Amino acid sequence: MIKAEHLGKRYRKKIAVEELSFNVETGKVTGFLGPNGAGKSTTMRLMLGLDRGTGTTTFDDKPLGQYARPSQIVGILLEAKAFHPGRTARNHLEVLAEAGDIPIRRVEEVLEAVGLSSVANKRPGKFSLGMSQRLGIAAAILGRPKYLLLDEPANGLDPEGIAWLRQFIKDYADKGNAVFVSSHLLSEMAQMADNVVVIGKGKLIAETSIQGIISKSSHASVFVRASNLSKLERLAKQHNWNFDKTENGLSITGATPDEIGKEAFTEGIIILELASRGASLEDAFLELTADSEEYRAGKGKK
Amino acid sequence: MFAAVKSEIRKILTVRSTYAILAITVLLLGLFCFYATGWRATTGQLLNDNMLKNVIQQAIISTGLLGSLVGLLLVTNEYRYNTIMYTLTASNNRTKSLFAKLIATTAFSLVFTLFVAIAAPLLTIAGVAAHGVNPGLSPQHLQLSPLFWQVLFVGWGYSMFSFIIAMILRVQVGAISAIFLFPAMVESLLALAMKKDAIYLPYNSLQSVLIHNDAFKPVSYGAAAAIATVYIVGGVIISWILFQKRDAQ
Repeated sequence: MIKAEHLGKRYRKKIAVEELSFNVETGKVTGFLGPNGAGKSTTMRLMLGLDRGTGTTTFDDKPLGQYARPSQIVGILLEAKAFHPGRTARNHLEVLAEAGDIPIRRVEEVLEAVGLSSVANKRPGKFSLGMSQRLGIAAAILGRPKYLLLDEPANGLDPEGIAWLRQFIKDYADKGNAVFVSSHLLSEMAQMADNVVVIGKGKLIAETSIQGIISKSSHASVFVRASNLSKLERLAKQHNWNFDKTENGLSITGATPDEIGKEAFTEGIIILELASRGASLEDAFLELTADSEEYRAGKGKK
Repeated sequence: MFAAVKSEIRKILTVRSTYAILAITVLLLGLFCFYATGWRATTGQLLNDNMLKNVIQQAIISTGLLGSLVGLLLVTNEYRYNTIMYTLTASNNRTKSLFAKLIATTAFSLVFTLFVAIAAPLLTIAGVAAHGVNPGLSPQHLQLSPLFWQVLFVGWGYSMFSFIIAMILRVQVGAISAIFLFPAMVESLLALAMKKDAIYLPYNSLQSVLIHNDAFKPVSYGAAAAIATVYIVGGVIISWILFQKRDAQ
């Protein structure tokens, strides 16, 4: 498990990250969400010791500095274009393999895994963003690390690439590894992450499962169609459930389908339809970070 | 540590700039040693028994800054292309990363300096022979033993000065400008004020390890090397402190 505790970073007067603590579990994909400028990249850099700040991060109860070969513990992709543009893709990976004491033959395996074998001898300066991301992922998995820290890995990938990345990340976590991944593609995150850590203005907003964050959203509701709607309305009022009348039923928030079903049965209301209408991760995210947006577009000004 | 050093050496050997610097060096040596000094040598110059020694000294001082660019680029490329994050996460200690770079830079500078020191006289001899001047080169008084350490020290010293400037500035354009401007302008201006004491300036002391300059206070080659070493050790300590404290970006 990765345990980040009391992470903090300040740039002169501006606080980038403040007292941030969370865990990243093994065997799971943990999404890292936050509006632009929330401090996601800074947090990842603090976790790796690249930025100097306060707090500690342990990987299986040990700081990264206590491992003899850290790149065999944590694989990173913090920036797609982090390579010398004049050094071939193969040489770039060989340099990293050498530094991490990883057998050079592993380079061919990772090139194959990310689909870059055919351009291995090309200089990546002219690679597309998608190809650069793949090279970055190859670098991250070079040392077969137990932990992966990926910052916006889907940026620049085409739909096929995104689908490949999603499957790759899920498979990697399923092998007992932990993947900590930030992304702005919330629909993607909803499909691949098990847990999420949400931050805003450098502070923790939520640390929970994907289901947990969605179910807590005010956008999550239960649609109920019943034999006697007025009786159902009275029931909702009795239990302080919020509801909206729809054409042929009620849309109730603040109660689960189980609760509504049980209470309706007790009151003798015949339920004709009971359906959970979940919020999307996007709804939940926007609701959670509504007060933490640092850069927000103006509304309708021309 | 050994893995980190190997990786740094691989970084040097897998970029075109290293080979471009070597090619320019060969070109310059060909121009100045083969043609200007060897082919166009006058009878008077050929009778000078220190001719080859002078050629070696001038070649080392002329190409020292050029060779030192390799170490400078090894550092500044990491920040320019943000590969420093890989370098630092591959190691469990920033000190190891710094010294791996320093060792790789030292290794390259020694090989480069030896190459220049061997190629320069050979090209001069070839130039003389190709022109067919009679009488040929007179017997030379090379004093190989002191010349060997002096040449290697000066070549290494240039690399260390550039390495330190790169570690402190981290910005590639700034560092390259600094290594050319500092000896050419800053030291020259300071030398006007310091007069004989200008021997205590970094590049002046380094060059004085190889060639005595009558404008400065007379010191032995060893003393000049000691002055330059103080700058190098001090610079490495400052680089180390900054490398430990700064964010890696």
